[in-house]
Amino acid sequence: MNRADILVIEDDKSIQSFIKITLKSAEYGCILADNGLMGLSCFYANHPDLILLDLGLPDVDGMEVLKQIRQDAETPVIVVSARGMEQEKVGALDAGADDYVVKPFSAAELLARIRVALRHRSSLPKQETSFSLDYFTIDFDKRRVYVHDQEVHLTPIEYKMVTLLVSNAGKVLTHHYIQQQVWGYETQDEYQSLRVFMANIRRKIEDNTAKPRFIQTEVGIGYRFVDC
Amino acid sequence: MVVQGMMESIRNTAAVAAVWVLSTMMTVVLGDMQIRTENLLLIYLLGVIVCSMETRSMAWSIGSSILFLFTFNFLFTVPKFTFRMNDPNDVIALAIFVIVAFIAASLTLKLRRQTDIANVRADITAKLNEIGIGFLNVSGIPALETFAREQLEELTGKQVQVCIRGKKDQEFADSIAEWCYANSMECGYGKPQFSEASKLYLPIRNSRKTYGVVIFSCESGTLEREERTYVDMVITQITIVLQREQLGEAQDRAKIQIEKERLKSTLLRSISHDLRTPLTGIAGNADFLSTNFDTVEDDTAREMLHDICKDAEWLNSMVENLLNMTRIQEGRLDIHRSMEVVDDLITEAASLVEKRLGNHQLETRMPKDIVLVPVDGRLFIQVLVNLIDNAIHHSGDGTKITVSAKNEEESVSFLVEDDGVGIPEEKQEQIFDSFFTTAYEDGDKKRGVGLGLAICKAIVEAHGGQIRVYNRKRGGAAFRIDMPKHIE
Repeated sequence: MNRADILVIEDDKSIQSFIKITLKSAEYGCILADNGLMGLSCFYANHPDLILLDLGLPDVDGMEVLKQIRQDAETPVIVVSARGMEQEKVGALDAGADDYVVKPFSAAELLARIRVALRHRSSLPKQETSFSLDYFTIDFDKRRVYVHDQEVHLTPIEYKMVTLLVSNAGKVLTHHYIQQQVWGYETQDEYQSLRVFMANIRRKIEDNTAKPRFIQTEVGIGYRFVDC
Repeated sequence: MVVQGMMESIRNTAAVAAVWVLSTMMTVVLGDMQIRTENLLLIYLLGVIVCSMETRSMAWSIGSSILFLFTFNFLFTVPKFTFRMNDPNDVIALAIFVIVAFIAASLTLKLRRQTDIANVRADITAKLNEIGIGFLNVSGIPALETFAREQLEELTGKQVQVCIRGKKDQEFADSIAEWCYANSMECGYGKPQFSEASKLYLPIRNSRKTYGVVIFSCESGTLEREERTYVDMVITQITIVLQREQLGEAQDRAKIQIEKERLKSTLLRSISHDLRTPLTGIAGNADFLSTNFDTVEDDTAREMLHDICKDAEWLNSMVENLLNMTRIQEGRLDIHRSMEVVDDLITEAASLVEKRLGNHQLETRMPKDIVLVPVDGRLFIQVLVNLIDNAIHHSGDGTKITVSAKNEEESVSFLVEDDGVGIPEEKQEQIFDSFFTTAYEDGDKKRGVGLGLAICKAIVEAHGGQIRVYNRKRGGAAFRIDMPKHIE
């Protein structure tokens, strides 16, 4: 496994050490920074492969650090934030963060997010001809979707949304991002139609909508297609 | 006014004429009976006094005395039926008649006027008493304003406005009233300040505070001195009522403050108890594992680690609820509404409680169509999570919990039901109160601060929705939430 270096910008010592142990156990390299400025200098000095950024830093706003990083590089950034700060998370995601984890998070959760973020950066979307997970299959060439080997009819917009989610599998996509990608313009209806489309897609492809297998809702933020 | 004056003159003329005819008739009759002229003159004097009593006016009294004088002169003094007098006795008698008539008339008038004033005063005193009693029954600023306005209008016959400052930041529309209030000084019509105004502004104040302004329309002249005294008395009454109201409010505030303090201390007590229990578990287990790391068996260690995770998760959900509760209690539950799909809300709530279900079953039923409801997603999911948690903890062992939603005309109704033991009727009312919990009744087996349902209620009501609890006919408890589909 090629060792990826991860920069952790986090002020709390015990969370720092928890993250360090988690990363080491998964054989990632780990660089620790206690505050935003130190984090930025570590970023410029070490060129990490991924950055874990706590939004509540003692010296500078985590958002500022994120913007600074995004000016210079496309390094994946996962933000760490407290529960209930949905606006903050959406802001960070729309400002270029790749994903987020909510405190308190488990080691497994953190590693899964890191894996997805690293994968998306390393492999530029390949032109695959089909995608398959469990009982769900997309044939990109024929633009067809199958559930339990039965063809399911999706409208063009629904198809666009599904392919967008699938090609970003494992990664959270904000309402704003999906709206931009699928429709190409912003709406004033709080993404009402987007939500309705998504609910319709779910009913078409999920066996049990109460326990979605494929599309997860991140309340107040957006949607995530499960990581395969 | 002119009509009234004319009416008065006609009445007075009639009165004087009637007295004149009567006394002349009497004197003529008595004159025929050879009564002496001095006595006849006394009859005329009586007439003059009656006239002044009736007309209540000096001019009319003098007029009537002159009329009577000449009548007497014409009819009874020698030579009769002329205005001449030969007997000096008659001259003196008539001169004295004039003086006596004048004095008697003025005395009568004075007496009459004083009784009039006394009557008016008695009336007004009675009226003021009535007003005072009326004020006792008035509460609330709008009612007070109306009552005071009606009474002052009746008392003064002028158009009156009563403006009382309720909230600190509001301002009167009338800038002069505002000045009057700000400076606590009389102004307007007939006063040094704003004398060109057509209204008179009087502040409602006591020695410490100004409460508002009374405005009189002075198109028909300003308040008379007497009126002013009464008006001042009424204004004093208003200040007394306001003081009483404010004392009441202060008392209410103090009560709320005490209640808040009580809540706070209960909260602290519960927190220290309920947070410490899982913390003790975590600390104990972790400490044991770190000191006996080499000797502890794998299975034991795994079990202990599992307990640590469970306790930690419980702590986390507890903190979430506490956080929401403090936000609610500080009265700043900010709601970020967006149109959420009902399916998403139920799904998310179900996945959050999944780990805690134990041997309970959770069934979810979605509405037939895709329904959107304007709620703060995170907060509303918390409501569903708390209700499901409540069912897990209190419905009994291994019950089936059902979460469903139904699309209604104006609202979306959510139902969280279980087929457990149900909730005793007498507890259904208190169940939404903060810190209502049965945890202590059952010993220490269950944990809970008794905040979950209180938070549900607060969140639902902050959205303009309703939450109710009842027992199902088939057994078990049901919580029903109605959320409006449209925001007012």
